[in-house]
Amino acid sequence: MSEQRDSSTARVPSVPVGTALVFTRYDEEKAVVLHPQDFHRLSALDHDLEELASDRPVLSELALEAHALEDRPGTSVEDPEEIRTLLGL
Amino acid sequence: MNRRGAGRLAGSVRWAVIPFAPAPPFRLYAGTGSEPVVVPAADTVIDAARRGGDAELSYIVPGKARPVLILSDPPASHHREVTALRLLRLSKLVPDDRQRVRAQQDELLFHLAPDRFELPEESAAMVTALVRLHEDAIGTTPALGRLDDGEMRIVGERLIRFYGLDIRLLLERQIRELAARHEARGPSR
Repeated sequence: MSEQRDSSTARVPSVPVGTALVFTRYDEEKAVVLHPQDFHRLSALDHDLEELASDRPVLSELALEAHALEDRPGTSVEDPEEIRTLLGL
Repeated sequence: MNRRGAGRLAGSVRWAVIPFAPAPPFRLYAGTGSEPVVVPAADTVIDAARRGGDAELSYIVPGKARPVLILSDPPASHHREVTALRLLRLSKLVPDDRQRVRAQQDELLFHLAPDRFELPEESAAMVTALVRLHEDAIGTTPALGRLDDGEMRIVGERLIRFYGLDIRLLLERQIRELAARHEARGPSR
């Protein structure tokens, strides 16, 4: 997320491309100033990463059919003698 | 010692005993002298548990011995469950669809070429049919075939995408690690 402010409302130094200017207060990072070109490059990378991480395939007709064909149990063999014969017990 | 003597389970296609997912009406085993108790809805069992009952019931679930594509090795000696994909038998499809699967045109069905897999029928691994099974439910006979590392990567990628696993942080970390390694090697000539 980014927020726009007019540069006349705050004193922001210019930063060359490829450099990040880190402002600290009491040894803690408070704000970072980037060249617009770097900022837009990072935003585009972030967007690409988001797409890579959330690209889900749609359940195809064929995959659905595969479930219809393979998911349904048939008639279970439940006769003890038949089970023993089937398994050679 | 590995009782199979055939290396890793991950990537291999093997026979295993696979239960179907339990669905209502549930049939509960009630001892040798009685018919199973039939419970028409999940809420009946859930409500009993929420009232404080911690009873473990034996569900009668249909199951089948079938070949599966195993995705992982058991993580530890005391945790011996693995994940696997069930297979679709191609003979059940119409010829056009069979051809699409053979040509790997559906990313949710990974074709297992008959010349590499000694399956009873030509099959494809169903990316959408993930199952969990105990190592001891897998047959001890040799693997019916094996996917190579590159093919397993493709299956892994399809699984991540289909199940919507959010791997953004993992991707970010790997990109940073790659960049750091690249930087450590110095400028390319």
